[in-house]
Amino acid sequence: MKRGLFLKYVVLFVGLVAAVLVINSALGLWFVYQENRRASIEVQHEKAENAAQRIESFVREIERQIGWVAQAQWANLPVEQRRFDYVRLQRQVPAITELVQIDREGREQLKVSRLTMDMVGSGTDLSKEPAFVEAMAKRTWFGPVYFRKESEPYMTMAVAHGGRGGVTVAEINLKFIWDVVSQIKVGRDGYAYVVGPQGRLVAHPDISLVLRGTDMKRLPQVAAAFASPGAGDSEIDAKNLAGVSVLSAHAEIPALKWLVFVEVPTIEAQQPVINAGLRGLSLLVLGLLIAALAGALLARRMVVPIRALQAGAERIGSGELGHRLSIKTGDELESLANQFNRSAAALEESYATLEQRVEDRTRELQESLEQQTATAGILRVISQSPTDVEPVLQAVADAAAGLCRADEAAVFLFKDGAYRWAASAHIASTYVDVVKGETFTPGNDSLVGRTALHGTVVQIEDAPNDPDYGRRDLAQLGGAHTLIGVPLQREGETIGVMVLTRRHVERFTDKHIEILKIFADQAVIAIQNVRLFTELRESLEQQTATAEILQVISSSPTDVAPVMEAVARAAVRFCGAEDAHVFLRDGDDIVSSAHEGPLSAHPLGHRDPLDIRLSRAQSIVEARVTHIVDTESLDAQEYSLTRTYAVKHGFRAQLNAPMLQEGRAIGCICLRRRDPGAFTPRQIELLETFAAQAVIAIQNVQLFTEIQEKSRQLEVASQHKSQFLANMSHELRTPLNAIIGYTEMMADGLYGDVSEKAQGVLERVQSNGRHLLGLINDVLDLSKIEAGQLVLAMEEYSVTDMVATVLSATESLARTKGLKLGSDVPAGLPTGTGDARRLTQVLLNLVGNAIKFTDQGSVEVRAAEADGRFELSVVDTGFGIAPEDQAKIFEEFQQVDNTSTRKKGGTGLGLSISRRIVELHGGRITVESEVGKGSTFKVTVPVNASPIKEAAQ
Amino acid sequence: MKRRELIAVGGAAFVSARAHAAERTIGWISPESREVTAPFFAALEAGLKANLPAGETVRVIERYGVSGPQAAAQQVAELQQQGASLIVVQGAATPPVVQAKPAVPVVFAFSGDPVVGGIVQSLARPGGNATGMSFMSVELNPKRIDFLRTMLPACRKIALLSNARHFGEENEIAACQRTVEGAGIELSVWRSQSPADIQSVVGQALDGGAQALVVLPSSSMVQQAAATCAQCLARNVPVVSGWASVARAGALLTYGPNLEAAYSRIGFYVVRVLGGAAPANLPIEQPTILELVLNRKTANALGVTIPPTLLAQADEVIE
Repeated sequence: MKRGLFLKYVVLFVGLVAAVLVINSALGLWFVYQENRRASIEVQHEKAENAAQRIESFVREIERQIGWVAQAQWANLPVEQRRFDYVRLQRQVPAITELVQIDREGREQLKVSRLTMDMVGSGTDLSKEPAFVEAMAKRTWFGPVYFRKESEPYMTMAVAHGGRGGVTVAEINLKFIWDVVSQIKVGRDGYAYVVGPQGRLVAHPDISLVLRGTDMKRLPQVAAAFASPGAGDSEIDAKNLAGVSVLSAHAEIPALKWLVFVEVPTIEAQQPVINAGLRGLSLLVLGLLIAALAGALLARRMVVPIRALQAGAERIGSGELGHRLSIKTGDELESLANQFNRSAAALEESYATLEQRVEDRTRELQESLEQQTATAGILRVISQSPTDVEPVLQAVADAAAGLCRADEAAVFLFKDGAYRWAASAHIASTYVDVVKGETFTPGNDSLVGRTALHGTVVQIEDAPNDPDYGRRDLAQLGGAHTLIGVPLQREGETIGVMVLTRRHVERFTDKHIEILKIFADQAVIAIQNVRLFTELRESLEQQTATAEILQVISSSPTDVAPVMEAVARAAVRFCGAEDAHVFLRDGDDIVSSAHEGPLSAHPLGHRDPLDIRLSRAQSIVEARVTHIVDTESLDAQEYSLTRTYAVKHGFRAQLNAPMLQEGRAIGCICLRRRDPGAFTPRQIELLETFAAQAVIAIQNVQLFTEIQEKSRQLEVASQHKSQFLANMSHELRTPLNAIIGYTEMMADGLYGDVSEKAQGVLERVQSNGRHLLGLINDVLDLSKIEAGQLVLAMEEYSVTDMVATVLSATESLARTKGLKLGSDVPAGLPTGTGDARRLTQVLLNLVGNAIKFTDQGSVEVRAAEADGRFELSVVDTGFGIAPEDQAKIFEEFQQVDNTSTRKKGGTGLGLSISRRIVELHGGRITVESEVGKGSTFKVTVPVNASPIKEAAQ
Repeated sequence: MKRRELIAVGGAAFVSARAHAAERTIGWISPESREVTAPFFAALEAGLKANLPAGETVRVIERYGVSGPQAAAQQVAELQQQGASLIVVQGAATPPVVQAKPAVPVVFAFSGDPVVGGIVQSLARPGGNATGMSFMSVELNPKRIDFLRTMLPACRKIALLSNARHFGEENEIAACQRTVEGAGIELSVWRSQSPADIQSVVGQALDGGAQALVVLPSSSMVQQAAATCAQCLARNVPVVSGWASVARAGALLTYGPNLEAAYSRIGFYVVRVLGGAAPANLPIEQPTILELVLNRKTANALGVTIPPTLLAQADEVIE
């Protein structure tokens, strides 16, 4: 609001009025302008006509004056009389400078001049002069304007005498029109002027302009008048010679062909418009002033109550709720003010109750905040103390006492069958000592007991005066009156009780009880946390230990000693012992195998007899854990040896766990402590685990050793077999060669004629013999390879030659079956290094197989070189090999088992040998095939192969 | 504060400009004496007064007896030094003053033809720094002889008295000689070198048998008019001249412009040029009103009857 609203009202009001006034004035002015212009032009024109008339009458007057003389009979008068008349005429008309009488023949009879000598009867022939000719024809003639000495305007006027009297010619000094022109008044600054037919100025109030011979046609209005004679006054933008804008009108004097112009400066002509404009402007200013005043008044009437409203609202807003607005405008503003008043009243009323509520709420918030702070504090203590429950309980007791306005607080935990003191706050140390000594059991006797018994919150309002309360002694000792017990419960079981006391009688409120329950829950959580944490830690440690031992086992498959050492180390670390000793049974002795710890012990390898008087021996013999809490309490007879060692090595407690293998102990782990005391069941369990792991390790070593021995034996056997096969093949080949040779000779008839039947038998013997020989050769090769006896004969070879060799060897075979045999070997393949004979054998085998297993179509050998390797492919269009068979065909004695292959014969060793040869070169052999479509065998060998050593192994 | 000062300064400047405009200084150069030109000077002052805007005055520094180029140039320089913003020059002093090329405009009252005199380019457009009025002396002299002949048809010997110092009189003499050619009239020319010798020159002319004396009008002649007329009347010889004052001094007739009106018109020129008009564009006016003044007294004394034609034309008849 402020000034803004006031200003807005005023500006709006003034703006509206101003807009109306301005539009009104502008329109009015426009119409006035138009009318005035029209009227001015009309008036001008009238004045021009008038001026034209006056000038014409000036000339006509001269004509009339001449007319007095120019009578028909005048020419007959005596010359002196005529001269006198002319002189008199000149006297009467000062503009006439010269008069000439011409007789009807056109001869000059008389000349009277103001400037030259008068002439009488000169008889000069003027009959051709236009003045004479025209005047004789038309009675009166006005000559054109001419300028004497190029300066003074003159005009010739000729008037014919009536009848046949001749003509009087007068020279008229037009400077005399000046008198007429300068008397024509047009407005204040207006003037008239006369322009001759050529546009030259004839008359003007400023005679200088006339004398100067001013050409008026350079003025637009004059030019326009000449351009369209007879037309009305054009509305062109007229200017006078001084360049001042004028309102111009003109009229013609037809007899003289002169134009009379009347001009008024536009500014003068427009004076009424300017005056109207000024009037309009002053009216506008006045209107604006009135509008401003009216606007201000109106705005004030509107704004004053609004300001009052604002001020009142501010006062109410600043807290002066008792303030009331008083506005009596009788309109919406008054109702608005009343509304403000009602709101203020309502506000005042609610404000009173609000303070109390705020106070309550603040207190609640404060308490809540304290509680949350306390809770947060406890939670922080919980998180900071994951392994120790006591700080948490201390914090809980402290916070509980503080928040519940108790004088003392204490927490009791169930331990070893009774509730015992665990933590307290604000209790005198002497009293704490008393309480520490107390144990409470569930029952109605004590507060702790009652709470534990019922598992609920128990409150005793005035303990010293409560007849049911059994421990009034304690209450009196501590000076406590009101007591409260809150159970700490886990899964329905009361694991502890929190007790708060007041030294005066005042019951704890429900709210306090709620808080205490929360604290109790937190205490339980803390206890839980500690328990879980401890369990987790132990579990983790055990797992770590187990994992370590397993690692040792895996890294020491043949030696049991490191495992035993690891087991001893783990046992010391995790089973709460100071010292661990591992013993293994060896027949009827037990042998010291590993030791860890500070106590003295038998050296490693020390043997003791398996005597059950020795607790560890007993553990082994009886295959069970023996646990000695205190050696001193052992029977001296029964455990004499143990006791002796205990004294000797300085231990009091001992735990022995047997290493059990299939129910029989093969050793034991012995834990020892300097002080007497029982090992926990967990420690015992853990030790048993370690013992089991030790057993596994021992078993592992045993198994490993066995496997090693077995594999060595197998290897020897395999070598023997290969050697045998090699030898055997050789031994077989020799007699077989003899058989074949002799059979051949027999068949060739070297030993006489052979019957046809016998011939057939011989051929079969020969055929089978050759097959057997091939078989033996293959076996020999294979065995050589397996025995590591096949040595590659490295040499340089040409793949092109190799392929050519193979093709020429198999050509006849292919031709026999009607197959197309071809090759695709690019020129420029590099020379290879390898066992050329063996590689040729491989290729021959593959091509042979292809021809063998192809009944129609073609077999093609392709060669290529890429990345330092030769790639030789044998592509056929044969039966193809099923995917499941493709892996098998490279194994020894494997052939794709179907009728067609069996028909083809073969040992099934070819591909196996080929594979070995290729592998010896550091290459690979693979097959791609689809049944019915053919197969592609691909051999890849390094261009420069180096033999792989001991390929057979 | 500054703005107020500025307004004050501007106001002062305006006022001083007005004051300057209100009091202008011009020079008046005459070849004659103060006495001779007094009527013309009075007419000029009247003309100035009539044409000046109300409240403005013009101070005139007068210089008389200026003849010859040297004197003219000196006066022009002096007048300019004394702050004259315009120079009015009269009669014979006109050519030397114009030829002195003053820095300020010149307005002249010249009886001769200024175009012929080389003072201006043309009457309509003077073109230079000078303008003014021409008194048509050359043209009117023949007409005076015409009037004389009308009055005295028997007159055959006419003496022409000329002021040798008066510029352009040779033209007038020539024009007169052309007029009388073939008219049976003997024209003798008598040149006066200074006012002092007029009487003796006139005496010589009269002794020469002149039947009439035509005095070419000039200021110095006017000064001696009464004496000359008396001298001639004594010998029964009529005097004819151009200016009415000569007729009043005893001449038989005069015909010429009304000099008072002409000098008054010079006042109009002065005001116009002071107002900023360029003399180059201000046409030279010639008198429109020519006065014929007859002296019946002289006529009676001479025993001459004035014919009715002249009486009809006369603007003034001195009884």
